[in-house]
Amino acid sequence: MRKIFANAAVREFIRIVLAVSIALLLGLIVTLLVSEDPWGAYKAFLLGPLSKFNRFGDWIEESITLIFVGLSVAIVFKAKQFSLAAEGQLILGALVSGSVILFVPIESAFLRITVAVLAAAAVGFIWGVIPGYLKAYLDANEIVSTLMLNAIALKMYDYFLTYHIKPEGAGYTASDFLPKAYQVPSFMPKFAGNLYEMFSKQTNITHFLYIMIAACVIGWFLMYRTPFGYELRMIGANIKFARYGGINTKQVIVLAFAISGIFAGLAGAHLAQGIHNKLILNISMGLGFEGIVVATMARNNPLFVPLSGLAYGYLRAGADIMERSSDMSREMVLVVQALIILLVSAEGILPVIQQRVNLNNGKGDGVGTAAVPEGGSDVIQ
Amino acid sequence: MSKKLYVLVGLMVIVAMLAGCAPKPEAAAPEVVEEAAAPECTLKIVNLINGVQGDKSFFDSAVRGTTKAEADYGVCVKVIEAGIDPAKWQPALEDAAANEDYDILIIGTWQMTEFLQTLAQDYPDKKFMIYDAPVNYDDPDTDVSNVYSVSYKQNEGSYLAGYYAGLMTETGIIGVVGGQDIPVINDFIVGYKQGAMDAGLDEANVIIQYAGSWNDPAKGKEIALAMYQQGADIVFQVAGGTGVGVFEAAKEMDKWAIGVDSDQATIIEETDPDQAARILTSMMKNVDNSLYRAIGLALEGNLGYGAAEALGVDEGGVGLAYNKFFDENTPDDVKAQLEQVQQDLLDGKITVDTVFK
Repeated sequence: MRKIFANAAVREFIRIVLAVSIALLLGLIVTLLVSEDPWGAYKAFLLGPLSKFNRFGDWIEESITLIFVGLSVAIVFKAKQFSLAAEGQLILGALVSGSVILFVPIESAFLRITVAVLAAAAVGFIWGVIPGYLKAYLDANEIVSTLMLNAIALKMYDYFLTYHIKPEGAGYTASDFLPKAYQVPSFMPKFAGNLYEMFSKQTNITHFLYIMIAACVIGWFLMYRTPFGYELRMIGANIKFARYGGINTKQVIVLAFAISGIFAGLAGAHLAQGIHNKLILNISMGLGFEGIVVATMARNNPLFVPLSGLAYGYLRAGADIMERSSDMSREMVLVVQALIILLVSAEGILPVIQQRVNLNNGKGDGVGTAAVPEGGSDVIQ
Repeated sequence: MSKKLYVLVGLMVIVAMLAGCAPKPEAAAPEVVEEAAAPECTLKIVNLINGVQGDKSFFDSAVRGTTKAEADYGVCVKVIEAGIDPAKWQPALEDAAANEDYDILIIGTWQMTEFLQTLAQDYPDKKFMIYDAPVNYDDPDTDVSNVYSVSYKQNEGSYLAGYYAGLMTETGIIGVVGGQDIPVINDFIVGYKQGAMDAGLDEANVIIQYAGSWNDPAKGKEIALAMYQQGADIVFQVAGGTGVGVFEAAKEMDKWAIGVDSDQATIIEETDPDQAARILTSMMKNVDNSLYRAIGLALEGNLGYGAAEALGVDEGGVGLAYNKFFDENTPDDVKAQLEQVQQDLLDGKITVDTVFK
């Protein structure tokens, strides 16, 4: 037993399973109290995303966005910079990528899509440099500056959409659909025949799936296999020590904000080009902030972000289905969802139990301190 | 160990309290009734709203319409709320169309038309109704012959509201808060402005502003307060849930407001009589009546699928709410003039401008 516990990954796994079980139990209690048909409602919540093919698609699509923003937040949180810039970067990424597809006259579909995605990444980068610079060189609190920048980004989006992008006589504030020829194709290759038909007809899972996987690997590589990543983690662990050790902390902080912006920009591109295939008002509704949940559950490790993103996406998709198919009101669905997130992100749950175990066994070999896995509880100061 | 027990008990108490706070009217909501009455349904209807209930205006009116049909015609209705996040609307529609058990699927608003445009032909043996905006029946690429569209001549009703506001204003300045800068809303505003000008107001004294959102009462309040401070004494809200803030502002400033879509004063009176007393009237867009009527026609087999219908003052699609607040606050000469104008409108003596041409 102790031996198994010595493995950080196993402990982490058990911790999450435990937390989810408690949370689901609490959620069930809430459902029992509120719903006329609690079992049906809860079943819709737990199994909904897998019950129909189109629902499965909704889940994966949502998760792709969440994973992008999760990566974005993970990188900047790793340096212990509490940036909330993802929302603004995402919105501008959507604006720019959608506009490129709509208005930049590049003949080749592949090129135009590539340019659009890169432009989204670039604008995210730039929108990250600003708060990064403000923080590193002018000592502006990053929470305040990023929140303010989010508001600016949102209004810029609304302005351009309403007065420049919206076509004459549109029924509501939105752009035209992106031209069919320039939409990102389904992730299933055409030669898959039936499967291609199924996926392209019933879901919007596109090549962004591959971009997302690549982004996770790149994010991990950047964080754990490059000098920049080392410096980033050093700053997160102890910024004074990092400075003492000769790291150019200011530069690294600016880069951390900026690189995190790249991923948020990609999330925006996915919204515009993968999900809506057009630009609409209120395109994000706070998705940038959901990235915090995803990153926290993944302990800011880019390799775990896909897992937590899928899990969180599953919760959100399940909650939507429960809301639509049962008598549970939106508010109660949110309560259940929040309970689960709260418990899963409560990092102390297992370590506390574990310390007890260790004490009881009179074992002092440091397992207790290692209970926090690499990159552990350094989310917020 | 006992400490943990306390924590657990505490958590449960909190959960129980939370649950207790939850509104219970769900039990009375139509979707529950539907299960039990399933075998006797004359028609199975799904009413999908791309928002939430409780806006006291547009979507509530739609739900009222189907609920009334349920009581009178014995149809079974399931209401599905797709929520306020526009990203969920298309999945919700696709999900409902594919997985719900229904004969007629009812949806509304312009945003949903383009989804329905392509979706309807995948379900040729099902019927669809869309209110507030028509699908495009001339599109050669899509077949929408199983869709019935109903829209409203909100410009006519708003003309009456504008005329009325023009007669009632003491400062000579009135305002209107639009949800978004879109044709349907501008159709309200065009009519409102024309009515006000016909009542003798200067065009520049009709203040127009858009909130940019349907679910942001704080924004609505802010805009209305600004209008009142600019001297307006009557503000017409055309902004769904956002408009609730307009009423709050009217109550706070002791000015007047005009509601929209439903008879809002009568609805709000139950919860906040002081606020309701500041609502002179409402420009009702009778989604409820139109849906009720359409369901009735559908039962008789007389509903015109594959076509669009526009309901005006004449057909009862739009009109002012002549409730007790209107009665109390309106001088008799104004009432007489308003009646005259409404008659002129019905007789075709007045043509109200529209953005839909």
